Amino acid sequence: MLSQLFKLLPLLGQLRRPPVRRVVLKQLYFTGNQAAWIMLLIGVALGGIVLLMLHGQYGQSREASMRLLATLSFRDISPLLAALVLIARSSSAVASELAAMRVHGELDSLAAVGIPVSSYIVLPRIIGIGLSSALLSIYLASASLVGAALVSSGWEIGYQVRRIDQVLQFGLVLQCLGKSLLFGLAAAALACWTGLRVAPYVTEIPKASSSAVVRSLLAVFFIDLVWVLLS
Amino acid sequence: MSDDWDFSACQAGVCYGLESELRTHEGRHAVAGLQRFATGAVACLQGGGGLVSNLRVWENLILPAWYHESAAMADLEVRIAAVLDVLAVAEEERASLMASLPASLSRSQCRVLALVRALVQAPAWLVVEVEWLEWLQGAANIHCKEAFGLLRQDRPMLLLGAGAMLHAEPLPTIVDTKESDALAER
Repeated sequence: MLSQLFKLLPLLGQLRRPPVRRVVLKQLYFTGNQAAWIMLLIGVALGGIVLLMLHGQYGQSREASMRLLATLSFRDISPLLAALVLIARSSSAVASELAAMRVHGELDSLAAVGIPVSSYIVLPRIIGIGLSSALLSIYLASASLVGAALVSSGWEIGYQVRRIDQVLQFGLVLQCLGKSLLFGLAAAALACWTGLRVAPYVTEIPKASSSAVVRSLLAVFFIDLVWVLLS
Repeated sequence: MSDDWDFSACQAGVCYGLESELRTHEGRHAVAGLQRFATGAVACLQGGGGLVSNLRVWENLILPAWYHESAAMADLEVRIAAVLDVLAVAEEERASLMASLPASLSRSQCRVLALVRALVQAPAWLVVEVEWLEWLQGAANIHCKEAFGLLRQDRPMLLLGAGAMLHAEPLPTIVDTKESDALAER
């Protein structure tokens, strides 16, 4: 899979073509924008739950709970949770879309007019989903802080917002972005790979969809494990 | 195979043929070889139209020209309007047709749109499937027939599919010079 990602590096020059950039923007819209409200809601709920548990069950002070939540959410929970939502929504969709294109001969049609599948189909989806994953993860993590601040301070949330620099460090934001970008790239590459490798039968389309989800989940959890072991 | 075909020896207005369909191994090789020879300048008229189902009709029509030429959108719109005029597509139908998805169109409409796409592309080569040609010779309207006639006269055409050789001549092959010299000596 990593070798597949590296093979795409020389293709980055294809982004100079307007249709390729359009597919990237479409993917950002479908994956990054349409899922934003889901992430915000999940984030607010997550922040509230974690803060209540830390404060109510483990006896942490509210400030300590906020600091712990920021660390947990930006470093560990949000990238993973965002990846899970992204896999459920987009990996399956991309795999079934590409499988359907393959079954109906549309990839051959594109190749016949000189449009390579790698640069027009695969590259924009991987870039779009990778960037969306990073964005969604940041939405989720930020929303979790808002949710925790709401639970912690109620209508005096402004007090917590002013103290945000004391609970959130720049390094955590970078970790969140880097990890979720990696998760997104891996999930997208696997979804494309699964969708493009199906046998040309209609019955293979749902199989591709579920295979992409399972493979992406495995990849994301193992990447997370390796990340934790290395950091 | 495609590496043995000499596309540079092909002439405008002549129809060359292969008894393989586009989705077969040999058909794909032939078109890939042609794409290497004339990158981005090959239009394809497939039996089913060859449109991409998740793109709107207007996106399908501009895609090859937009991808290969990076032409301005305004220029592409002018080209599409000019082609629709040539094919006498009614003004009132155009907006809804352009905004529709290929799955909502009939096979015949998809074939007309494949012709529109080829005309917008203004290619150096035409790849045509036998099924599309049979439709053109039968049920297609006179405007499509005339537009196709004009399109094919200025460029070579590769006909693909069963029965192609009834309408076409074989693709010229690259002659191995050593082998031909040896034959000449004998």
